[in-house]
Amino acid sequence: MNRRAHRFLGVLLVVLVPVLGAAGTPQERFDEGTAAYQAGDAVGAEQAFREVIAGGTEDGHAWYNLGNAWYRLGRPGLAIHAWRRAEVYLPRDPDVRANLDRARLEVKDRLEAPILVPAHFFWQRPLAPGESARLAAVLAALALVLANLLVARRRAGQRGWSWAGVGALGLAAALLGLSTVALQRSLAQGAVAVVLAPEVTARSTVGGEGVDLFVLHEGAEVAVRAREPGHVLVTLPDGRWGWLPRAAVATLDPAEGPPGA
Amino acid sequence: MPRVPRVLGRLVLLALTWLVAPAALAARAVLTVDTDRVAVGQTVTLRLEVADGQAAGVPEVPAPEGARIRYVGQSQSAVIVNFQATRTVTYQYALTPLEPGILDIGPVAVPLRSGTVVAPAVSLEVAPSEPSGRGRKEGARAELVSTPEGSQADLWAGQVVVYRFVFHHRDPLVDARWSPPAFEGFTPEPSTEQVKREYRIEEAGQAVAVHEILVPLVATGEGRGTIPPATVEASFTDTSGDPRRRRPLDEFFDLGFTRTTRQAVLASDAVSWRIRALPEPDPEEGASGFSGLVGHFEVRSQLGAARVRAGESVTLTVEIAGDGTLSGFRLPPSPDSGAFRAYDDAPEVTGALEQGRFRSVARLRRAIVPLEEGLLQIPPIPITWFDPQEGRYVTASIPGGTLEVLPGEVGDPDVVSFAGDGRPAQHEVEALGEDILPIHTGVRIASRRLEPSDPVSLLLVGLPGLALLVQLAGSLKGRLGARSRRHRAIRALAKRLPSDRDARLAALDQALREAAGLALELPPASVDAARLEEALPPDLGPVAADLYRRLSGFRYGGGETDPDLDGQVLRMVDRLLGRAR
Repeated sequence: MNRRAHRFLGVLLVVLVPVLGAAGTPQERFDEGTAAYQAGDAVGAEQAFREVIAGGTEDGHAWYNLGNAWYRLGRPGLAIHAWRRAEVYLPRDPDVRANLDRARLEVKDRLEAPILVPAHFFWQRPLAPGESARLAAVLAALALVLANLLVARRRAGQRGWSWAGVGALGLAAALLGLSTVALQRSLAQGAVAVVLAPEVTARSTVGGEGVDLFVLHEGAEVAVRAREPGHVLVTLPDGRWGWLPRAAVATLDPAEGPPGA
Repeated sequence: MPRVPRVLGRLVLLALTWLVAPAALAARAVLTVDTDRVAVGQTVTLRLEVADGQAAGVPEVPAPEGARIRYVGQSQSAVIVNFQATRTVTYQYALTPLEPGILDIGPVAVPLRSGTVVAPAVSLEVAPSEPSGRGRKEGARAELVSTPEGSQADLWAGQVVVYRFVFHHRDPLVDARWSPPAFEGFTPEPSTEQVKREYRIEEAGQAVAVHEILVPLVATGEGRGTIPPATVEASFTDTSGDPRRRRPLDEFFDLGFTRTTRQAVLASDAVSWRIRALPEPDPEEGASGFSGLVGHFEVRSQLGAARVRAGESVTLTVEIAGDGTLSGFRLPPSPDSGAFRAYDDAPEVTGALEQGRFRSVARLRRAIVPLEEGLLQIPPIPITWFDPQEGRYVTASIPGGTLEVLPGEVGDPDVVSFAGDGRPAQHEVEALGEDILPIHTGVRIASRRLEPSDPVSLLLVGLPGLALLVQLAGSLKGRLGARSRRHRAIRALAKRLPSDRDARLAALDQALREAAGLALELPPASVDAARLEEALPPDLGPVAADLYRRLSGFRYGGGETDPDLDGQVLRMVDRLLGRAR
């Protein structure tokens, strides 16, 4: 390597090292965000937590802290959206629920918060999607191990063990898996949305011929039943429905990332 | 519905209101219905809004004769305006008219924790039955509404009517484009825009969304004519979805999300009309000064002051309200008088569609400038209009009033101060606010997004699954191999069978005994027909025993053997070996 190449490499290192160092790992940015928040810098904290999530780290703690930062910045709608995202991954966390309850008191519209999927089984509410998927995998693995033992015994000419255990474990794994898939589908479809605009009017159509049906305010949580380009059809607990501009709401779809502040 | 008891009931409620009003001064109650017209059997939402008052339980709305009212639920809202909080609780009821006619609901007395508040009555027009659309997913109709009694296509020139286009649907609407018809014989009422409104009814147990487009029109033609059908091009989203396309998982977890959109064009029927020219005004009835107004009107006036100095002005305000158009209306000129002068402001005319009916209000101001001191008698102002309900001209006289014209001085107002009146300064300690819980610190973060290729789950399921597959494959291979070897041995046995009858029967007997011995785990010598029948399963034992007996009979008893005896014995040997471990 000649001297010019050495010099080029040196310059490259001088430029890249600070840039790469500033970017940091998601954990480092998260810790920087918590430090900024504790120092009273809600703007810096919000930026750090947003970067962590936008970088692909869909973590419940990051969403929770981002919700706190948005709340400090006077954006209750964004905060409720972030805490609902956090609730998906931290369903048993009392802090998330307490902050959500607190922020909901400030929302002008008294609406019952829509749920992602109906809870038919006791495990649906307290388990995050990843947890229920792993649990389903563990139960399926147990069922398969038991099935292996049974087959091995039959091959060895030994009989007498029942397949009921395999069936019960397999059924539990299948139900857990199905409920996880349902939750994932609901999340991916954006079946729940939070109003981010200070005030938005739901109309009967997406075109110009419709009439104003009702007004929703920042932080209102609604169920989404259909989407059209630029609009979503939302329903209220009392059965009313109307079209809202897509830009006025944010859904819980994990593919969406943090909405713009 | 009986008239007298209803009036008596209202009087009692009014008296009750008067008695309890001081106790519940701040509370208000309002009764509203989503629509002003409904058909027999359809269910609409009736709302009772109670503001700034806490009802003692769910208020009971008494069902009038010919209707059924059922409590559905309640919601509440809070609004803060100028630091003044208003809490409103809305009680919802399902109202189902059972008879056609005008339905009066209320007034309703709402018992509060501290007193009672009364919600004024509302009226609803009940049509005999829905002319079209009952039971259909969507439909449209149109009519002309002109009088409080409802639809009427027999009109007078100048009369205001409301063209009412209604379309209903069960599926959510994505978009709708309304094409209004040509209103030949009518002109748009200039003070009012068309109104669109949407509400829900329940029909045969199903929710139906109803859209109304109301267009106020002034009849200008003469004779008979038709308003052609109006159409609406609509696209619907079917949230319930086609049951054949919904998967069981969607049904179970209520995932009714769909992107299916369907187009439909809904058209109303044409609406016929007849417009009659106004009759000639009869001067003997005082109708010579016809103002050009057509409708049913109420007039009232107010003089701005009772005293005024000469040369200064006082305002005479005249308010005319009714169901006819008031656009372009002006007060008749004041008669010439040397005692005062009159100057008219530009009239304020507002029109609105209230409960589906047109209503217009004109506010006219006339400045009166007295020229002489003393008592000034302002002459009344006559106004003549044509009332379509009565079919004749009606004249009303607007009282002018009496004005005392005096010179005078304006006094200085007193300034009153309430500062330092000795009231106590203490007040309750107020909570300044509540805060959210702190952020999470010191936690390890990682992406919790559920990925189909999660390596831990794949390993957990994959390894035992693979092992099971290997085991099953081995077991299957062993079974197939054993069967193949057995078939080969039986084919070899068949080839080796001697041709001599006795030797052949002995060889078959030996093969059957050995196979049965292997299946029953017994020495071949101890096998006999009774043991075969007893120890083998019912589907095999009797057959094997019978074959054993026949074979023994041929071997030791002689006689002609069955032509297929070899095959029967070899197939039995195969079955018995298949049972052997």
